[in-house]
Amino acid sequence: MNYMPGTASLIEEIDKRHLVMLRDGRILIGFLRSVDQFANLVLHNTVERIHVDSVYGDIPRGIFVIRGENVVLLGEIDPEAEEPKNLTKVSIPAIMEAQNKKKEEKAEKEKIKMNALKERGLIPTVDHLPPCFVFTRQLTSVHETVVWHVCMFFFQAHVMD
Amino acid sequence: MSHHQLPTPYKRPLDGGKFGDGNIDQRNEDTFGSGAVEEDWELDHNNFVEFDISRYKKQLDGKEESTENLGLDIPKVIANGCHQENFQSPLLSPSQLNEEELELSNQQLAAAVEELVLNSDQDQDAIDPAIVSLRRQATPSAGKLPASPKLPPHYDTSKSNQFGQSKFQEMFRRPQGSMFTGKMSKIWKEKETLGLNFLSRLGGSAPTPPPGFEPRPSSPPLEDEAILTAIKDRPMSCNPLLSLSNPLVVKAEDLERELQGSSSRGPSPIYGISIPEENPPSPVDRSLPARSVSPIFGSPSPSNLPIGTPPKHVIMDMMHQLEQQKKAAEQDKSGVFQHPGTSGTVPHPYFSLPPGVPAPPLPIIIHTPNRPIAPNSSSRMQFPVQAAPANFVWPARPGVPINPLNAQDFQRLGFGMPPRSPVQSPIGSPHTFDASHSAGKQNIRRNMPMPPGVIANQGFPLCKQSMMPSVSAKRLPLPRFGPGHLHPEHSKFVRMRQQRHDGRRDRRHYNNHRGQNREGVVGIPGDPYANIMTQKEKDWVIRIQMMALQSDRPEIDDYYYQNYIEQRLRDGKLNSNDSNTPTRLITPTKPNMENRKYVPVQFVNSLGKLTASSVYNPRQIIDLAQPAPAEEDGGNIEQGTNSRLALSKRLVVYKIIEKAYDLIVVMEELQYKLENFNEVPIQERDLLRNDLQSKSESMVDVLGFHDNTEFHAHADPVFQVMKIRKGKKLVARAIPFLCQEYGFIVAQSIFAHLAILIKRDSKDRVLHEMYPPLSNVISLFTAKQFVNACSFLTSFALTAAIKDQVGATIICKLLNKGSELFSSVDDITEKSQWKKFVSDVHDVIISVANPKEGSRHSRPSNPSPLLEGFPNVFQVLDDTNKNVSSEKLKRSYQQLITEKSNADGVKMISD
Repeated sequence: MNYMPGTASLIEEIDKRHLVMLRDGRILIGFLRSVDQFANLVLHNTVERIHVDSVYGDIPRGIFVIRGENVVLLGEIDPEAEEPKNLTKVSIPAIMEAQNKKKEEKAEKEKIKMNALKERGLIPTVDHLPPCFVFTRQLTSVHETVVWHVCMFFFQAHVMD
Repeated sequence: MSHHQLPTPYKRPLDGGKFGDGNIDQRNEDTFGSGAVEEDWELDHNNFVEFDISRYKKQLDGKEESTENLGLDIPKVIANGCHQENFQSPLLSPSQLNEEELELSNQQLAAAVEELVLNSDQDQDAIDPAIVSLRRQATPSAGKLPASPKLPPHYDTSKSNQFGQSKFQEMFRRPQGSMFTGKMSKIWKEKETLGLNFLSRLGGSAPTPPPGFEPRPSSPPLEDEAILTAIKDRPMSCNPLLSLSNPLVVKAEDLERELQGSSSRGPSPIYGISIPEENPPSPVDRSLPARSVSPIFGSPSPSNLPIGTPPKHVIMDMMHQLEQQKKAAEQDKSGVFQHPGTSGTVPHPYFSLPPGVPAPPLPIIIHTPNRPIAPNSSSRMQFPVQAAPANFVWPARPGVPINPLNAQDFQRLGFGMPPRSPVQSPIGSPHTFDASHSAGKQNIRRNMPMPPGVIANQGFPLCKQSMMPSVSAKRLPLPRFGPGHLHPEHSKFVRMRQQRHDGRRDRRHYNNHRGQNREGVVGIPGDPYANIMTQKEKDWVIRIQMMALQSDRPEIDDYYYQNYIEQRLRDGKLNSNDSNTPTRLITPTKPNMENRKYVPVQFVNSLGKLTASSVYNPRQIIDLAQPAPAEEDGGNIEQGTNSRLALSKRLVVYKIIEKAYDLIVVMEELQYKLENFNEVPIQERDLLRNDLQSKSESMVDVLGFHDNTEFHAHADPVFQVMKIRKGKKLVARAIPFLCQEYGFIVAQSIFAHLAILIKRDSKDRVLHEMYPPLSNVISLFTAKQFVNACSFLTSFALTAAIKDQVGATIICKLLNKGSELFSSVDDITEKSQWKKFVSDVHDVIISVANPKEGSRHSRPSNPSPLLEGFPNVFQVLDDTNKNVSSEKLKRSYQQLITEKSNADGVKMISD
């Protein structure tokens, strides 16, 4: 019912063990030591956890200062339920190897997909916006007036045709 | 397709528009900064238009009756006018235009747009084709006609000639020059009825022009071209587009060239076109917004904002406008600026202002009949239909609580004006607190149970009250405004629920609540790294976040919450007992910005640099500029009247310290290597030693000894360094690396300023770090050095020293050293000086231990157990001063050592 506004709610989470997911997909687990209004975080005794299928591995990272904008999610780790039951922990080299393998597989898949698309004459690109005018309310009246006149100019030309 | 059905911008309501007229201006000022838009071009424009009207009236004398209700007859009137003057209009109606002319008009349109956009800094009057064409027509006929007797009394006809009649006559000597005179006046006179007629003719099917495209005599050039067309094509159409085919449109460059000498300086065309000002000009909205309050810590003061910076607090503008409107309305009521109702045009009350002078705030013209219908381009922009004047911000009506928002902002945000009663709208706005109620309300709020996480902040609602007395004064009795920004209903509900919960748990005040949370914060018991973030830092973050919740514009900043609450109210859920309603944390911790004035720190070379820290500039970039409080008080030699000099001096000292630290760190490392790595080869050790030696020399340079082994109390660089806390630590660390010669200078410096150092050290608490190295230096004193050093210790310094632990220790060390030094010295003068020193210390000890009644000296509250480290000191003192009773000295000494363990002290002394 009661909550603190914004990142102030993180203050209650300080000194607890947290999992932080970053924008690049990395998962960090560590003790939250400090936050600020931007949700910049300081993690202590951090480990980077890598999940590959049913195995995972922890890479010790020490103190981790995270710029707030990179935080995707943050949640407290339940110490009692921290050991995932259906996952097995492996050593760092093993998990790194697994991760690389996974990456290569993914890249391979992408390549095949690309080739397939190319064969069919399709090159995936960024979606285009529909070809229409989108006027936001932020248009200044300069724009509006000019746009109006330009529109009506075309309109008039159309009429005269 | 008939041109008749083309949209016309000339639709005008009978009851006045329902839009805030100022939104366009507002928008421009948002974009370009306040004051970027000058207004007088409109004035000039009105000038011309009106001039023409009056002249036309004269021309039509007796031919046309009242122009008020002509309606569809206007075209006829115009046509009549044309026929009477036997003009073959060069402005052809679209149907009359051949393709060539169309082509030409299109090119002209393009050119005009380009001109408008590109030549932003050119003379508005010169560029605005409408004005120009108007002038062109007005001037020749003005020559023919005397000033119209029908002009309103305050209408200064001579003004219309101020643009240089002769020049105009020369410039625009064209056959069609006077042709528009009649039409023009007619159009402006009849635009309201005309517009209405068109409206009725077009029905609802006509596309409406976009917002901001509103016709007015002072409208931007393109629109004025439209006007011209409208005149010309009177019976046919008012299509503004076709007007663009007006061959009379004069190229802006030409005009500019010709009008270069014109004294009237209008706004740049880009602004001119960007302000589709409504007619009549809304004087209220063009008063510069009050952007003088910067509500954010450390944010630059608004006056520093560059043009183009959008105002952060539109609310201030709005409040300012409300105030202006209020004033204006009163003025209007008093009839000061009653304008003739018969005339279709509204004479500018400040018409006699010379062009170029920005229009002062004018009274609102509320009941103007020729107010244009603001085009309803967006179905979302439906405003409550009311008979309120169009440029009157709706909540400002007397009897209705003022919503801090006005219609303009709704429009600007694209929000529909909330259809509900305005009573609900001022949610949480501090402005909505009535002054007469707020005091009592404060008490009520103080006493009423607060929802958890809600602080009742006294004085908060009042903070803006004083600024807006005229607005707040007439406000209705307040609805139930809850704490902070909660919707009144919501806050009531929260209160009720809180009361229900009171039985079960404490009323948790916000702070309590926070405190409780804090206790349970520590994640793992015994975590040595827990609470690294101090409570102060946590509170700071919380405060920052709370501040972010503050809003003067709940409808804008908290649109979804407001809508949500409204919806809940409609559904009746808010009053039910379900406890799922989320509580919103409310933060009345808003700082009273009125009392905070941002005064930037200014000193030499600070131009363009950040000189203050804030949330936005977290690190004070020139933090050296702010004198530490410890250095401000007392004995500040360098801080004279010229604080700038002092600041720059301090900067120099800081730089010295920084350099010295760079050295000292390396030196200590070298020293450590030399001492602890015995296996280091000899050559390498020599290298290290040489390195250390050179570093020591540069340290001597840095500290300002140069080759000067003489101590000068007045030019003492060491003392300057030691005035700063870091400097004291630095000196303590540097002394071991200095040779005895320089160590002696440092000791002299310390002794010479011992009283100041001790006094300042009460906050720094680093002086004791200087003792061990200083003690080493003292140990190596020669008799001459000793006498020299002790000569700096005045009785004042001794008094201060005896009271201080470190000082007492130094004195003891001196006595200790002196006793062994002078036991073997035969020099009479030195010995006598030594004896003098001892007797001084003796006197001081006795006086400090037995303060006289009323003396400002008092016995030190913290006795110096360090004195115990020198058991022979008492003996020294006792031996040297035979004439004073040793009993008294013993007692005094004992008191100074420790108050509680007297017995031990006596035992120690007697040993």
